Amino acid sequence: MNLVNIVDPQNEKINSELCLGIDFGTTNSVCSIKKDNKIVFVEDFGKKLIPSIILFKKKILVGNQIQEIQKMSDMIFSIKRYFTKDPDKKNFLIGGDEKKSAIEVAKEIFSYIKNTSEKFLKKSIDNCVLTVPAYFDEKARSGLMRAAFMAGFNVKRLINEPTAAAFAYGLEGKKRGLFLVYDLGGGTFDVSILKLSDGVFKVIGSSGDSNLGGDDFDFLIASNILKNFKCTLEDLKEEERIRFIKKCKNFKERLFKENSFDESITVNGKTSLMTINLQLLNDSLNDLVDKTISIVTKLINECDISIKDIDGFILVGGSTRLKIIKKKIIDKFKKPIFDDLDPDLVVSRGAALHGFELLNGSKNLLLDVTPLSLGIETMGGLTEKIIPRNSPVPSIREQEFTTNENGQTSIKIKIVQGEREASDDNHNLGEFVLSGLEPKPAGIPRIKVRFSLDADGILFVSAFDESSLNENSLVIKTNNELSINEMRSIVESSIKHAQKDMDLRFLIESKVKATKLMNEISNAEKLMNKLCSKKEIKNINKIIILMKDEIKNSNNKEKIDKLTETLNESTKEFAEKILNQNFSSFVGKKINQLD
Amino acid sequence: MSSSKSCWNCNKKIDNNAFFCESCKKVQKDFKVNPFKTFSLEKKYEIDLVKLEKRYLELQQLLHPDKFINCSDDEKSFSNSHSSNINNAYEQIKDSVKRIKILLHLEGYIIEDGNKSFKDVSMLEEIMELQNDSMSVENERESQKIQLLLKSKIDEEKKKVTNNLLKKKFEDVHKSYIKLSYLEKIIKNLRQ
Repeated sequence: MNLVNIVDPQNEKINSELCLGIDFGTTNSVCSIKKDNKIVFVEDFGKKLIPSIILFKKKILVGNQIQEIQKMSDMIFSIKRYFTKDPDKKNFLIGGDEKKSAIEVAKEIFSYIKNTSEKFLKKSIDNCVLTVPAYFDEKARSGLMRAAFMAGFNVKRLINEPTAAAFAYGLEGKKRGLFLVYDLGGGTFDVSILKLSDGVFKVIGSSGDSNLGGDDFDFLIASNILKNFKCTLEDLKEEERIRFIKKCKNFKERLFKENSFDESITVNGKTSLMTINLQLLNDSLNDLVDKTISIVTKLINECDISIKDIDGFILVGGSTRLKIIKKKIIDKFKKPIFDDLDPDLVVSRGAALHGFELLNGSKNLLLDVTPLSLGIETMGGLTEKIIPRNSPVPSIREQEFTTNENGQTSIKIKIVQGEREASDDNHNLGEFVLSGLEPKPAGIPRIKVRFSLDADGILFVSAFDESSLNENSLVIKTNNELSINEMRSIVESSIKHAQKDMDLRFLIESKVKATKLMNEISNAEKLMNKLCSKKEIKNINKIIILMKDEIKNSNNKEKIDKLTETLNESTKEFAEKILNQNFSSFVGKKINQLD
Repeated sequence: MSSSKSCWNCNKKIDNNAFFCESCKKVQKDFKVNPFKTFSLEKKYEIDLVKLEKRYLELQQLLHPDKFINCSDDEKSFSNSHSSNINNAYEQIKDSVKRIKILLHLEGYIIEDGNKSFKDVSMLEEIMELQNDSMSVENERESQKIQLLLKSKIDEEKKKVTNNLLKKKFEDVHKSYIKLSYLEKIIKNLRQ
């Protein structure tokens, strides 16, 4: 009998486009790709887990390049945690006086990931789907996306980590029904409830804590053990502290399999033989695990579902290997637990599957929600929600606001994200001023604020005065950086015209620098018309046209740098005039006051 | 077809509410349409939720931004708007309280939010009493009892909405809207 090979034409596209699934973790990163109809994990020195650590020496060392011998206090750990704080702040001293921001540090890790993946897969890899904690706010999301763009990745989509994991369970594990994903990573905790059906994977609701993870567990175990030495972590020198916490992390991991072992521990020169067992572990972690359980319960209630409707819990993230977590979930919810897909790898696996489907087409649909409410600050520092949490994305919503003072000609719009009433308690995403309103009595102007949250969870805000003839619409960027759309088009044009053996990163950097300068100039257009001669303006505009063309249609880094320099040079005089103008208006004021 | 619109890509005439051009199959610019029309549902209070979800997913399957990853920026932006409109329409219409607001709106009766005035004192008293009872429950049995009572009140109020909408008694529908939003809130708090 002849066996006939049945070929599925859908999966047999010879030129299927490749897309890397990147799970950029607090402790470890994992990358995989769907190729020849199976998932392949990128290996870094033979390991699928790439530690998200970096060391700035003469050379930059990342991941498994870093050996034990290197001085631990020089390394940067858990960079992902800084994205929920201020990802643009230059916080990290990297030798000499040079400081880098979290985005710049993460960019180096992404570059390493890109090189490692290309070496391992023997192919050039540009496209990726990047996962983020579901509970990450907008600033953290766009920051992480920007870091990946700067490293030369064309980020096709950001997806939430628990969603990616559920997608893998739905596609590869053929799960159908209502599932709760409990995702505890190195630094973040996410929980999502999803309905998995044939062809549709739909998130009902998400919650979490963007600052709770396995790293905190190591810290708690260390503090607990130190009680036996009558000291605290603060009493240890930095180097010893980091080593000690790392040791406790190893204890924790040994207890995934063993129940108890003896260990001789030396702290500040004092040595003591201790029994490390599950009891010690459970005592240390109890409160934090309870905290995760209460977040789960709250979400179930909020989604208006009953625990009996849930078909099972899907466990994701390395920290769910802890026995205490499984036990607590089973005791509390009495539901089946699924962890058959490796909890360290499943998020990247889901991202790779989704990436393949995005680029090559698919019958499946993935629907997600926004985990945190978005709104603006109104009178008295209160938050007015515009897009409530757990709304499906994308979502575009408009709301009308008015002035509270007679003759008010400008209005400040402060964008916040979070669930609290007082806007100061929420994440501040940025603010902008809508000016040039016609003076009118309080309450008369009708200012429309439009929030557009896209499928990546990135927000665009615009506002305009409806009652004024002069429609004043503007799209804001929440900081001085380029918008995600500008970044994307720079990366896409660079990849499109890429030549072999050229470092994409440096080209992107040049283009970003050039675009920033052009943006600054176009923002100052009014002033420029006032302060510069027609000839000067003509010259500046000519360079800008050349530059725009160069950025869009070619990849000549030298040429772009040269044009940036020329443009800087030709606007130098203008910049000086602006400075002088500020000065003269200041002098003018003083004279007025004297009068 | 009395359409004035034409396809941005091939310039052929298209239907005013067409998502795609029939000849070149390209996605079209978004348009404003009421949520009932979006899901091809009859404009009335009682709706088939199963049919609604099915229709919602069919539309997202066609228009979600994930399906336009390799398309032009314009097409991406059209898909983003369509997908948002469908999401928002779905959120509004599937909720039995928000649905009242849309129906009233379509009848030209606008409810301003944050303006839930209580002219009806007896209703206010009834709500306050239910609120107090629900706050003082001590065990699961008591909670279940109040939940049952609340459910029956909610069902009764929904029937009123259906009837009063037919009779075009919009003031009364507005009252039911206010009452239902409070009843739903109380029952939700009880479940937590």
